Parts: sequence; C-alpha cells; structure tokens
Amino acid sequence: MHKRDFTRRAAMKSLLAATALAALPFAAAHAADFDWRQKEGTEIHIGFSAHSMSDALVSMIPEFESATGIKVNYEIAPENDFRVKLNAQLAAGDGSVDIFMTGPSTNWEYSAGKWIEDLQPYVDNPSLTDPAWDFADFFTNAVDVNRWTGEEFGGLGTGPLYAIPMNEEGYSLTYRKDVLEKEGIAVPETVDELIAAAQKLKGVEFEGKVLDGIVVRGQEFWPTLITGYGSVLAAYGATDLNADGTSAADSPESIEATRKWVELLKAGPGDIASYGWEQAQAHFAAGNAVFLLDADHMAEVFENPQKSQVAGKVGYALAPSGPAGRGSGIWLWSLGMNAFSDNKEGAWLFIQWASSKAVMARTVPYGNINPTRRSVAEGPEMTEYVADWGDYNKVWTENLEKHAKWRWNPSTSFSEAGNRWALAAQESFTLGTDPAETLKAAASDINAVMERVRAAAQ
Amino acid sequence: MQTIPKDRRAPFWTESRLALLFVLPGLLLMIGVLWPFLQGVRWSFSDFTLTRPDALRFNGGANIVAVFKPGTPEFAALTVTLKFAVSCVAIQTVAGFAVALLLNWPARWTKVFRVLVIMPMLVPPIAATIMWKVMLIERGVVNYLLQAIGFGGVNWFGSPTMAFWSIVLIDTWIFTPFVILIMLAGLQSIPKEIVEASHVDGAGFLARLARIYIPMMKPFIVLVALFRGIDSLKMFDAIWSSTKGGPVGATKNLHVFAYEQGINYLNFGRSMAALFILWVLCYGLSMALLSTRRARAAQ
Repeated sequence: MHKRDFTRRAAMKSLLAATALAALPFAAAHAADFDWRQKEGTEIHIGFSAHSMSDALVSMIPEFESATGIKVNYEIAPENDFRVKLNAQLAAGDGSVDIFMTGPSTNWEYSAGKWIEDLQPYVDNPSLTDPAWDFADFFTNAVDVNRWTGEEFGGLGTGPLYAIPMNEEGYSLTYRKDVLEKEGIAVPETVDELIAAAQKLKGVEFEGKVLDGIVVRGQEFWPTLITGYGSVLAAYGATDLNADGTSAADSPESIEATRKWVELLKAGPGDIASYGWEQAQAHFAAGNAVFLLDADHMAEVFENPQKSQVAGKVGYALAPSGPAGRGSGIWLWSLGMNAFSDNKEGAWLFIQWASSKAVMARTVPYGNINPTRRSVAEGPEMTEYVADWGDYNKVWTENLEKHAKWRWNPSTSFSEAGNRWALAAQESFTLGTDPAETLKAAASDINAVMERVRAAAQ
Repeated sequence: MQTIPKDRRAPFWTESRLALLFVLPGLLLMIGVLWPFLQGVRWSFSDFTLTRPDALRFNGGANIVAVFKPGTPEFAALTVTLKFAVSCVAIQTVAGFAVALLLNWPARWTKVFRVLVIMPMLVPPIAATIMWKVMLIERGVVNYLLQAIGFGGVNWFGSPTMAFWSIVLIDTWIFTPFVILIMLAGLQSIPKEIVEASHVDGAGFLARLARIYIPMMKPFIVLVALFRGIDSLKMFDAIWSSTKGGPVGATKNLHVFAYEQGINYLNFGRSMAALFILWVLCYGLSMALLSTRRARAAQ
C-alpha cells in the first residue's frame, strides 16, 4: 500500500473533497434532467486490480452511494491474482462481478468469449448518460484503443466500445538532467544518439556511484514488446503483420530495430534480461541509470523524495526517433462491464460517475495519471500535481496526441504471439545470436499461433 | 403368497451393504477428485481454449507427443524439469546428510544449531524467493560481499545458466532443513552399540560411513529422495516469483510452462498435456521409490 504523506497532495485532496461535497447539491440541482437515482436500491460489485486508480475510486465510493442510492461492494487484488480470478469468473458465466478493470489486450480475450459488454449503447442512451458527461472530452486515441470489431488480426479502433479509459500510459525517454549536464551530453533525439550516449555513460562515476547507461525492461514477455522495445520498433517502421497477414517479426525494419535494441541493452545493467517494469523503475529511482525508456508516468515515483533518490533531477523527452519517425505504444487501464451482470444500468452509472470530469480530476492526486480527458489533462489538478516535474505535462500530452498508438493487431492470441517476439529479442541479447535468426524463428512460431487461432475461429 | 414376518426376514443391512454405506463418503470424494482429473486428461488429448469452449476438438494426443519431441517448448520444459529434479535432490540429499552428521555430534552446541538450521524452512517459499531475488541483483548484497573478498560479481538472474543455479540455490536454502530433520532422525535411530563396535574395531570415518551409516539410512534416504524429488519435479513458487521461466526459458519447467499456457493464454489443451506428463513423472518416481521399500520389507 502507498503511504500518502506527501503533504501537498494531502492538502489538494482535502481541498478537492471539500469542493466536491459543496458541489454535490449544486450538481444534483443542475443536472435535474438526468436521474442519478434511477437504480436506487440496487447493488453492484467491482473487481479492482491493485493500482492508484483503485485506491482513489475506493475512497470516493461513499459519495457515489449517497448520490445514487446504489450499494457498492468491491475487491482489490494484485494484478496477476486479479486477472486469474476474473478469468475464472467470466469463463464460468459468473455475473457476480459487474465492473472490472481491463485494458486493450484483455478486452480482446473477453470479447472473443462474449464476456464483456458493449458500452456504446449506454453512452448513446440519453436516459442513462448525462450529457454533461461529455464523451467528446476523452482523447480519441484513448477511447478507440478500447474498440474492436472482433475480427482476428484486424478491426482495431472501430466497432463496439468495450471499456471507458481511466488512465493512459505512454512510453518516452526519462533521463538524469544532472548527469547529462555534468558530462556535457545533449538530450538524445534519435535512437543512434541514445545508443551512443548510453554506451558512453555506462560505467561513469557520478557522486560516488557507478551508473549504468540505460535501464529498460528486458524480460521475454509482451509488455516489453509494447513499451521501450516497441518504441524502437516503431522508430524503424516495424509493424506486426505483413500485408498478406503473416507475421512481420522478421521484416528488415524489425531486424534492424532489434539490433539497435540489443545495443541499448548492452549499455544497461548485466542482469537486464530479468528486468520487468518494477525492476527498471526501482533501478532508475535508486539513481543507478542515466536513461530510462519506458512508461512516462513512472515520474510519479521518481519525483517523490520518499520513493526515489532522484527527485528533482529528472528530465523528460519524447522517445528517440528513427528513420520512420517517432513512435510510442500505449496502455490504458479502463473500466469494463460484465456481459453476465444482473445490474448493467447500475454498473454503467458507476462507470459514468468514475470517468466524469470531476471524479477523474480528483483521482489525479492519488497518482492516477495520465488522465484520459483533455479537460483534466489541462486542468488545475494535473497542472498542480506535475508542477515541479519540468517538461512532464508537455511531453506526455504531445505523446498521446501525436505518437502513442496501439500498434498490434488485435487477437485473442496476442499475449502468446507477443511473448514469442519478446523472447526473440531477449535471445538476441542473452545468447548473442543475430536478430535475423531469432526473429525468423519467432515469425514462424507466431504464424503457427495465428493459423491455430484462425482455424478455431471458423 | 404369504409375507414372511418381520423378525424372520433377512435384515436389509447385510454386512456387505453396511460396508458399502461406510465406504460411500470416501467413494464420493474419490469420484469428486477423479472427475476433474479425468476431465483434465480429456483436455490434454484435445485442442481446447477457454474462450471458445465449444471448439474442444480431440486431437489424438498431439500435445502429449509434443512434450517428447525435441525442439518444442514442451520438450525444453521437460528437460529443465528433469535437470532441476536431479540437481536439487542430489545437492540437498548430500548437503542435508552432511549437516545431519555434524549435528549428530554429542556436543552441547549442536542443540542450538539444530534449531537454527530449521529456520529457512519456516519462511514461506515466496517470501524467501523475493528475499533472495533482492539479494542477488547485480548491485545486491551477495555480489557486494563476493567483490569484497576478491571474487567478481555474478550475473545471478541475468544469464540463463546462473538463473538456473540461482533457483537451485533458493530451493536448497529453503528445503535442506527438511532433509536435515529426516536424516537426523535416521542417524539417531542407528543403535549406538553398532557405532561403538565399529570404533572398537578401529574403523575410520569413511568406513563407518560406507558400511554403517548409509546402509542403515537407506529408508530415510529413499524418503528424502521421494519427497524432494516430487517437490522439485513440480517446483513452481520459487520460479514464478523470481524469473517466471527465466531468461530464454532456462528456468521454465513443465509446471511453469503449463501455468503460462493455461492461465495466460487460456490454452488448456496444451497446459493439461504438460501437467499430465508431470503427473506421470511424479507418480512414476513415487512408485519406483516405494517399491524399494516393499522389496526391503519382503526381505
């Protein structure tokens, strides 16, 4: 659990709470045409994954209950356990959890099993959705990533809306301002510049510590593929599928990008092949690396003097560019609805409430960033929260507007295919095999997986 | 037809019917356990993905065959499983036996150490793994100490070979106390007269080891090999909490492979096939070891 004794945030929260409480009667009177109490007396159950968003919403549940008369039960579990339990419940057709946290790739698994509800009809229904909720306020990229037509390896961004996004994560370059200044190195703009800088700075001594050039995720799982490694792939124009639908893991662009990625890994700590996001974040927060190419909102940890040793020394920049420009992946935590729920309208009221402008803004001080609404991104809570973080706000908003995209064709087999690709990258680094070889083997395995999925979908 | 009066009729609850009644709860329990097991076996011989349950197709055991086909991830997992089992059992049995011999010394300080030596076993395996994981990072405590005494740092979890041995290290740290306990019990069951007689006959330590200790400890060694063997064949906690299958699959045993296939990819056909083979291995090991006890009992 996080100890929120960061006094400025505590002050912010109580100020916002007071404002919100004062605003409630006003809101009730103002939105008299929209009936928040239409499902009064019913009960809903929410499954949360351990996350600052969950902490934020859980603390505000009593307000929802008093505003709508709906009783809310909830459960928070660590991410892996949360997913396992949810999969079991959905596979059994269990309607006991009405709302759950989900993201792009899990949406696809759930929709293939017809376990998740299409929310577009609820959004479009004037008796269930307050016009003040303002659907257009969401960043389009963030919403569309939650849409899928259900076509294996296609149809992303259109079709049913499976979840409402609550926070966004983009991937960009985080660096140690103080080290770059002292060593007289400019912030790298391109992948080659980043490799050069990271390799030059590997082993540099700074304030009594020997630093690694860069730290990233090196594990052989799909999160590696969509984060730092994904940004390098995008910079070289690598895509996941060829025009004929076969895997493009072994395309020339992908091979070149992977060679560059291996060079970056060499400038990192020796055991980087075992690093997931937690280790990468901890490594940078402990002041052991000069660069980090991963989630932008890790800034929340780095800028907190109680959680990191580098607070105030961190700079933010977009991911390095390559021959095909800049690219970033995207991850969203969103709220989805169980297709087997007995109280879908009540569940929709909660999702609407949680993602409304006022409530989303109030989750920001809990660390629920980056907000998926334009008004909240530019609003006072976000500006105040990141006030001391230099260019942070400018970088992530630009990233989301221009570069952050989900770059992987949707499929129920995404995690398996993604893991296989990430494994090839890891093999190239750990075993020293040329990416042309490892990626070719990966492409053939991924093709086999896609064959199997296509056959089963008939 | 005349009805026979009540007291002359054969009782309803005959001995065999009564026996059946008593056995019934156990029988129901067995069916309750067997039913999912048999379902699992059925899945292991089929293509079955949880998101499309109607598409369960019998595939003639292709997934099972894959476990024995070199080059498949399943076969790699099988090799890793066997490597783990052999390494862990060998190291833990020898180390445990050695420590038990030391603790069997009739000195006062051994009593204190007997308590201390059990402590690793009291730590939950996942907590122990996370603790070791933190100690074994490149800039961690262990490398720091190694460098302080002049050795270089080791790439514990980053290199495939060392990741394998790191897991063996963690498993050994947690479970050798178990081996020590059993071996100690065994050593203390050896009649003192035999040991004293060997002293009188002028036998050296090695002779005593080979002629007295090991032969008389055989049932205990078999017990240890059985328990540790089965546990290390199906090792999961230490691997999943640290490497999740390790760099380039170097620590991915059948259990981890099955978990990944089933829980992450919802591909229960492949997952159950790996688990079925794992079950056969465990069962086979226990049968092999228990048959040695039967053979000895028959002597």
